[in-house]
Amino acid sequence: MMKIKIVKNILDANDQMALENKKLFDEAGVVAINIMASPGAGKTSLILKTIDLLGLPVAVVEGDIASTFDAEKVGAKNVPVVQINTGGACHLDAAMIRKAVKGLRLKGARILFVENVGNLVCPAEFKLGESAKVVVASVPEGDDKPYKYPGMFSAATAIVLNKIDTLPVIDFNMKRFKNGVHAVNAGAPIFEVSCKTGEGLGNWIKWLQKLVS
Amino acid sequence: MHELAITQNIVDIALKSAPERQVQGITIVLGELSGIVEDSVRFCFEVVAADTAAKGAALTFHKVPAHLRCTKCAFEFKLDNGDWACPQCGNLGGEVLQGRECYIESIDVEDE
Repeated sequence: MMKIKIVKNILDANDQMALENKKLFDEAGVVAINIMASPGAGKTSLILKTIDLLGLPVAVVEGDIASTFDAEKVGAKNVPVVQINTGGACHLDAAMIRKAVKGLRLKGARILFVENVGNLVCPAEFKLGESAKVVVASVPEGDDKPYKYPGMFSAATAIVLNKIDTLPVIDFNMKRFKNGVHAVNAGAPIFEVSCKTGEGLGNWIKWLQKLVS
Repeated sequence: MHELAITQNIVDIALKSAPERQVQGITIVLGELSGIVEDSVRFCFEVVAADTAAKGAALTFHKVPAHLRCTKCAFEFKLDNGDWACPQCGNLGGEVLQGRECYIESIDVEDE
């Protein structure tokens, strides 16, 4: 038997494709943002609110295991949108993005929001060609999520804590949540928002505008 | 569930590294924080490698424990059962020095 030294990243094929996607986005003048969260945290709500407030042209890729609900909601805003149905896969990968954006009008858009499949585990591992990873957490999920899913929170460029309008009725220790985030990710800003009332969205919008300026 | 995709990559890399050879073993290095579960990879491997030259290959996993450097006092410590608190100063959190590894180190193939 013969041993062959390889030392190759297992996700090398995906990483290479992600690099190509990034190049494609750079050429189109668009900044891709990978939005990740558990199901129901408010990824789509955040994208919809952001489209209203941002004042910049955007495009959207919606990733779901099944259905086109989210793409329909975004499409109603007259924004270029494409839905990926992964058919069971728990995350988007770079090849899916490559295929999806072929049918998308990127020219003119400043930000491409990629809404990943609702899941706090797998999407963190797969680069898509994004410039920033945003993790959306929400108050009803509890303050322990950064402790339970350190991989996801450590990968984030920024964290949006949604549904802060429910703070009065939910046992959620803000300090514990923030400590948990900063334990695994010292530098990421945390935006406390409510997509329902609009509270706190201003700082998030400013951050996005700075990101693309 | 993402282990299926991960395992597909493992098999692809092994097959490409030794074209037209029978792959008899694959050595994989996995960090504690890689998010990849050995048992799941083993389970997926049987399915993914079936009908390929990697069928029946022995999988060896080298596990790398997570080592952190405290962001406050710079003390270096081993992650203890998912506890990110620095044993020296109690500060929560640290820079990951090792533990995110996820690569194929080598493969064993039959002699020519």
